[in-house]
Amino acid sequence: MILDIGIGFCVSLAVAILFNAPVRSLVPIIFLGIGAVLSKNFMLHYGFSLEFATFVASFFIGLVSIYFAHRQKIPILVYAICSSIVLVPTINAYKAMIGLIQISTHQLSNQELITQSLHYGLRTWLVFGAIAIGIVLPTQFLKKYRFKIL
Amino acid sequence: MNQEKLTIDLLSQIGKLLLQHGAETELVETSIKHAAMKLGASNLAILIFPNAILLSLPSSDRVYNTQLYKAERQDVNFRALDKVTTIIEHMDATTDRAKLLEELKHEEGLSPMYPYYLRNFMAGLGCGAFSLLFGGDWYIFLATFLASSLGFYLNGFLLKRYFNPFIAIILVSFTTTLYSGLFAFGNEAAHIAIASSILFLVPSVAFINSVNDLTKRHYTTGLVRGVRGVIISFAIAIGISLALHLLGVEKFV
Repeated sequence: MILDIGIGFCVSLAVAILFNAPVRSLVPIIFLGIGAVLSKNFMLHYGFSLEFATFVASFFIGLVSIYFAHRQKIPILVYAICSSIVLVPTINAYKAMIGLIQISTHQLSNQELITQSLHYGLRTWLVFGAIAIGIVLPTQFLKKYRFKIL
Repeated sequence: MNQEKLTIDLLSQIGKLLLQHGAETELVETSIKHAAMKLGASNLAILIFPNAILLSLPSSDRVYNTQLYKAERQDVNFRALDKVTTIIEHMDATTDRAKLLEELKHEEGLSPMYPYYLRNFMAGLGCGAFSLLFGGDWYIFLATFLASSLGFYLNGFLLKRYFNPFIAIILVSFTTTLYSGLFAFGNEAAHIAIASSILFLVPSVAFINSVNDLTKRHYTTGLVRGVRGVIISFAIAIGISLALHLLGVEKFV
């Protein structure tokens, strides 16, 4: 738990510094990053899937960053992007890529490797999609649009 | 006439700054509209391309003033977004447009970056903390920290010399993977070090902005941003696979 808080603190602060976020937005970004890590790990602990846990965590980020954006007059994007980096599934992407390299170089007959690589690749894309949709969704509830697409 | 030219230059500069520093299309559009409303130019037409802005303002019943501004670079700098939105907030019809335009044209002074050594340290720290998230131990943390700090230093070095950004990303991910692979060689969690040391290159802004734009029916910019994100991901993957072929793929599964 304390390690999780430390991880959320370090990663979101580091990304905020790299993306040159304004100084007064650093505290909310750190708060959101820690909240995202904790809620994701909490849901994973109770047996939910990685995609759904990531979606809930990024939904939390999107929802709370609306409040901070209204309060500090900074675009929602700044909070949402800096604090959602913690959720990026790099290890799955890496495993998918390694699997593809192994399939292409040798071990053509290894069926399990192909399935595993496909599994990790799909999981990467779904988690990425869950992050993006989870952030975008809460900001759209409060707006009114005058167009139809169907 | 001069006043109208100043107005449209000011609005285009605002849009250009927002587009260059990683704002979504909806934000660019609403900011320009908001600023135009405050300057008293409410019947403005806006068209936003992925790397350019076209503004058109009717000046009399016969003439249209049209201006095309090109965004010269695409990077992420959230302090510039904050600055521009604050300027728009404090704008009104009596604002001195020439002075404000002069201030906005001076792009480097508008939004200073954090000091370079701090960003370098933070890149290392963030990637190291990320490796702990995936279950690495403190030795892996140290290896990731060193590798990604060195990689970030190389990134800044190459970008200062105006390398092609995609080639720079291939080189940086190659070097970072090589370093982290060598530092964590023989460790059974070496793949965690490699996977998390390239975190500072992940094109998260491009992907999130892409979904943001696509859901708000800015299809062109959304697709272009998504394609940019995919190309950056492929560049990272090329660099990693080159380095892994040197080190031996089987050792890092």
